[in-house]
Amino acid sequence: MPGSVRKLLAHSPGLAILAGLVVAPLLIVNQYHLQVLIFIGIYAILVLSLNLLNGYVGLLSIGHAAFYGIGAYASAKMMIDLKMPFILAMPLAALTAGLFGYLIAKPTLRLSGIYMTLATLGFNIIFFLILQNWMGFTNGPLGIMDIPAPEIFGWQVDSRQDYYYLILGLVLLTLASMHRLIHCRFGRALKSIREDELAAEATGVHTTRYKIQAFVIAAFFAGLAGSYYAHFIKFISPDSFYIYESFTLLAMLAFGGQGNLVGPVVGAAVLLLIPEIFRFLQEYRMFIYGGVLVVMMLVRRQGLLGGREYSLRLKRFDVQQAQVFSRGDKFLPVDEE
Amino acid sequence: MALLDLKQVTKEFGGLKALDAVSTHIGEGEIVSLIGPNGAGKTTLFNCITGTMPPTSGSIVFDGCELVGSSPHEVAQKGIARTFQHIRLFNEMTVLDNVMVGRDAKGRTGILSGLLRPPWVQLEESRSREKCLEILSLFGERLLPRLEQSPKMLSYANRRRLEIARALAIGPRLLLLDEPTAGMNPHETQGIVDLIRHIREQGYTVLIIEHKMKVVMTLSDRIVVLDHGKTIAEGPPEAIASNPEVIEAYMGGRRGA
Repeated sequence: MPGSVRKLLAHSPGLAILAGLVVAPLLIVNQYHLQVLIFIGIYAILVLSLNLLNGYVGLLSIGHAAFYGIGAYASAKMMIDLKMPFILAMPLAALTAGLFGYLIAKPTLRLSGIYMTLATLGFNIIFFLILQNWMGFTNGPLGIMDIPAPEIFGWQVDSRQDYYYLILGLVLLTLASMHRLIHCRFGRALKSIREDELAAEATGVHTTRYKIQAFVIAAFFAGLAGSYYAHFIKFISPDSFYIYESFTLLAMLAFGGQGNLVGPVVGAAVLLLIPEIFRFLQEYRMFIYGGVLVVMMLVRRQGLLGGREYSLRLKRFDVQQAQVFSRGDKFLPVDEE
Repeated sequence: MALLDLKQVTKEFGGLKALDAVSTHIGEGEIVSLIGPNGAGKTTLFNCITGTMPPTSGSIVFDGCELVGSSPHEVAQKGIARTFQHIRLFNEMTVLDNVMVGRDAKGRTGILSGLLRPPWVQLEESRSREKCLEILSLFGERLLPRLEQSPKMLSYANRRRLEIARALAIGPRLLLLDEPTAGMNPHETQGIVDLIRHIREQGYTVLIIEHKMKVVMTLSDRIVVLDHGKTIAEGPPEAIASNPEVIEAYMGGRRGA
């Protein structure tokens, strides 16, 4: 088989899924269904970014919604007040979130374990209070309305379909970035910190620097999702970025399984779909939501897809024959003295 | 000049002096053993050298460079690698990746280059992979067939070997081994002894904490004996074996008390 065909076949399951996702909005007529898919995309990015911290570095951050909110507010303010084009506002908003991530990470990552976790929680609460009370800048609980729709090089993002393709692109960008980051020196260092910080440090890994970098990247992608959210819903208020949101993200991550790139996406999708599917039960649907989470933690604590890594290539057709060694752990001859 | 020079290293935990003005030196290319009864302060001395636990007072000079005040990764980057008394491996990573982490400090790939993947990143990765395979080949067919396995699947002796391999990947000049043969049977122990000799032939300097006297006596150029945080003897194996103070520390001389 020629190399290019082999390569294509190896990628075929992934390509099929991608093709399905591209064609999906043409087949889905119901706007509400598209909207659900778009939200799955937003949350997939958020949970993927949280996964970098919780799943790869082993830092428990429970204030991630703050960075989501920073991205949303920064993007809205930049477009409304500074009249920036969307193509500039979105990356700048993400960078702003990353900058705040740095400012939080720098002092708090010296703390370890639960103290660092509490610091992230505190930051989320403070951020919420600022949003609520800084009337002049954030318009307080009334929020910011009439956020302009995105326009990218003349492409006016307008219909649900357009929004769908935009978020699909962002999710793929996030997935590809995370995949590349994890499969290089950077990702290996992050995993070593998760596995044994002391040993990583003794092996020459600058653990503090890596932790700060991971925190900034996670904040960056959360900010990206926030920016998209602001321009999609066109209205943002502090309520969307309260700690409740952070816990939702944590639940999705725990449900889907952390430490790989598939689990977070699946977790976000399933936990968003459950309340939608059981909408006919009205308020009782949250029983199902909670019940599923409880059962999951009892039956499969590592989450649906946790506890192992998955290749994004979905290797099916290029499984290589494992190398066979004839000599195993043979006894070495013992020197008799 | 000595590669590692300890001067009056003292470590206090509250009122307890775990190390009491320990002074010694290790020359380039030597194999030095650190022995002493349990609680003598051997591992504490390792922790002081590697920056895990800074000493209360005293100075530790490595290759003309003061180590006190450096964080552990800086010490590692200066060329001191260590293994741990209780094996500390990265269990959810493959055997090869465990060793590759040791190459981290030598790498240049950052976030941007990791994302954009210019050609040199791939080159760096494959070079570092080759280097790690070279290190793993020191262990014969113990680790090489298991590159993609998790360390959890390895035998106890192989996990010890992997820890040594990871330490060697840093490219150290001084290797600190904390009880490398603990829990090994005689032939595995012999394997480690041969390996340490082999490592020394390659130009590394080795400081070992060891309890097995046979290993200590056959391997060491020099032995340093600690008891209650003090150096009570120092010298070549033959001198130590006949030193009355050492015998007392080990066998106890309190029959008359």
